[in-house]
Amino acid sequence: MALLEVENLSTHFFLRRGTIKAVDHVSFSIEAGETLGLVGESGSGKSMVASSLLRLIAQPGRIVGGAIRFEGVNLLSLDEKQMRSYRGRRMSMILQDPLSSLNPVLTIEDQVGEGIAIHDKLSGAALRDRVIEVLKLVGIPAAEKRLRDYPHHFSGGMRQRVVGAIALACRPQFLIADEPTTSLDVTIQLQYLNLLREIQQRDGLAMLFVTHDFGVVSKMCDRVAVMYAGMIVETASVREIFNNPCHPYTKALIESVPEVDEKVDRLSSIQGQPPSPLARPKGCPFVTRCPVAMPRCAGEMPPETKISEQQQVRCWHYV
Amino acid sequence: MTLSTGTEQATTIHGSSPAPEVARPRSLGLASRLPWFPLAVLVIFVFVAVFAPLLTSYDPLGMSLPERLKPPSHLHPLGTDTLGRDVLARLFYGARISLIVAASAVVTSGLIGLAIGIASGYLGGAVDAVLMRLTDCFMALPTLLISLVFVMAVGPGLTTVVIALSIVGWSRFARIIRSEVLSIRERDFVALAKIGGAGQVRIMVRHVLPNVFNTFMVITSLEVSGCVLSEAMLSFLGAGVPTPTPTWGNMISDGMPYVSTAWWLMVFPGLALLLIVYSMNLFGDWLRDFLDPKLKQG
Repeated sequence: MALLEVENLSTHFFLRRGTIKAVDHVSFSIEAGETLGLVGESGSGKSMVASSLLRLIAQPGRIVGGAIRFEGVNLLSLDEKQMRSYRGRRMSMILQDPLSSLNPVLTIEDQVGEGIAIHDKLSGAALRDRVIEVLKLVGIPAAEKRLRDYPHHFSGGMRQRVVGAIALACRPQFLIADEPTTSLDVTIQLQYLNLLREIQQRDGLAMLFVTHDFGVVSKMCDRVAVMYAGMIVETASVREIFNNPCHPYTKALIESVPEVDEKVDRLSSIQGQPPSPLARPKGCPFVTRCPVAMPRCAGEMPPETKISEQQQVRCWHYV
Repeated sequence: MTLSTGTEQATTIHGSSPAPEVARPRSLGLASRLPWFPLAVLVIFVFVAVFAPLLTSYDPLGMSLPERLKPPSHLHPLGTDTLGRDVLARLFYGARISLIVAASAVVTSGLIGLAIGIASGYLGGAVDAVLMRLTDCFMALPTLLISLVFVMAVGPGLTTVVIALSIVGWSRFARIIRSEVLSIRERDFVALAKIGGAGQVRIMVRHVLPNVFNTFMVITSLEVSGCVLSEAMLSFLGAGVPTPTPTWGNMISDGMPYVSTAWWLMVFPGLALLLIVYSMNLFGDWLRDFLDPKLKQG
């Protein structure tokens, strides 16, 4: 049994102008120690999937259907108090921006220690020892001396390590990383990704890696799910996604990644705009931009089709 | 540096003499920017209020009819009033009332306003709607009128004045703090606290509260002067702390009939009031600028 199984998860936002299906019948699973990449362009619903997993969808949004099974327990059937015991302890998340992820008026010790204090009920010296241990885990030099420091005493890369320490403080089994390296510069990005990999291998951490960077995908992920307009249009292993992308959207995404050793005059891009979330096509959401669209695509939603053991795609061309 | 010569450039490149930085007065940074005048006035005010019995040998209530309405002299530096009481002594003891009333009223209304503002802003939805309509109602009440009515209904006294001022005062705290909380609750560190499993109360107390502290301090400093003034106004109208307890307000009102013959009765308490309120406002303005992150350097 997989550590996390998501089945037909749907999260909708109910606005006066209409209903936005931010997450629409999304299904995937993640094994312990595995990393699933979740890629897609801005607004495709990646972050909404991440928030839905922790059940942190704010009004006017609501999870309207599906199941999120974590170690066999359906998180959607828990009450808020039980859910809180999952957040931080069993599953955690790293956010994109280290500048705003840290509370400017609390010390690092207070912030990293918060989760430990909530879940493990530690205080005093025991709490401090755990905080130092976690800070060392994420590679903060001279951690003992930095406990009383405030976020503004740290550089961007170090701050994101502190954010990592907060997320990993209670040793969760599952970590959601929502574009954790987007706001870091390239060399720091690499260090951070290596660090996450290291911790993952040591602790057998399962990860959902939300990103739009295929370089990060190839470095970090075992499998990839491609999202478009709130739906997962293709799931495959990293090897398959690069060697044999099936869905026209995945193909277009891979093609728009510039090659380092190729001389290109013009970067290729996907024509057109994603459909308005308030007026999605009835059939495949990509039909408006798809170069190989057929009449059938506009009318009916394609079913999920198995290409190989690990690869599934939602496209009429493969049915 | 556009006209710099070759040698100058060479030295900067080799780094032997780094370009002279604009000297930043780091060490005396805070000291040079402190608002010395208002700070001094406020320190003296508090000092006088606390140590009033040590600073004057006169009893503020001690009447001496032969000494009545004496102009300032070496015996009575600020003169005596209609009952022969020393004006300076009454001014000192009056400062106590002002300080006690202002401090308790601001603390009470501040705490109520802080709690309501944070709860309203953070919880949002129906809680916010109810609390903010309530705040609107209290904001619409004219301070003086409602205090007067309350004091008249319950009877004058120190506690009544404090309660009367707090009833109206909290709404300003609540409104401003709520708006601050609205932006704080959308920050990522609040999301991260939720992800970590923190409950609503914990987030409000540990993450939101310390972040509205600056704003809270600025409103407090501005509210203090308002409370000193309101207390004086209530006393002036006879609805404050009842006589014979000296307050600046009732000193001014007692001196009014004698304004043409014994000017010192009204002028000194009036000046004291002016000085305190002016200093408090200056200090509040300074505090607001000082705590404004946009004006702070990294």
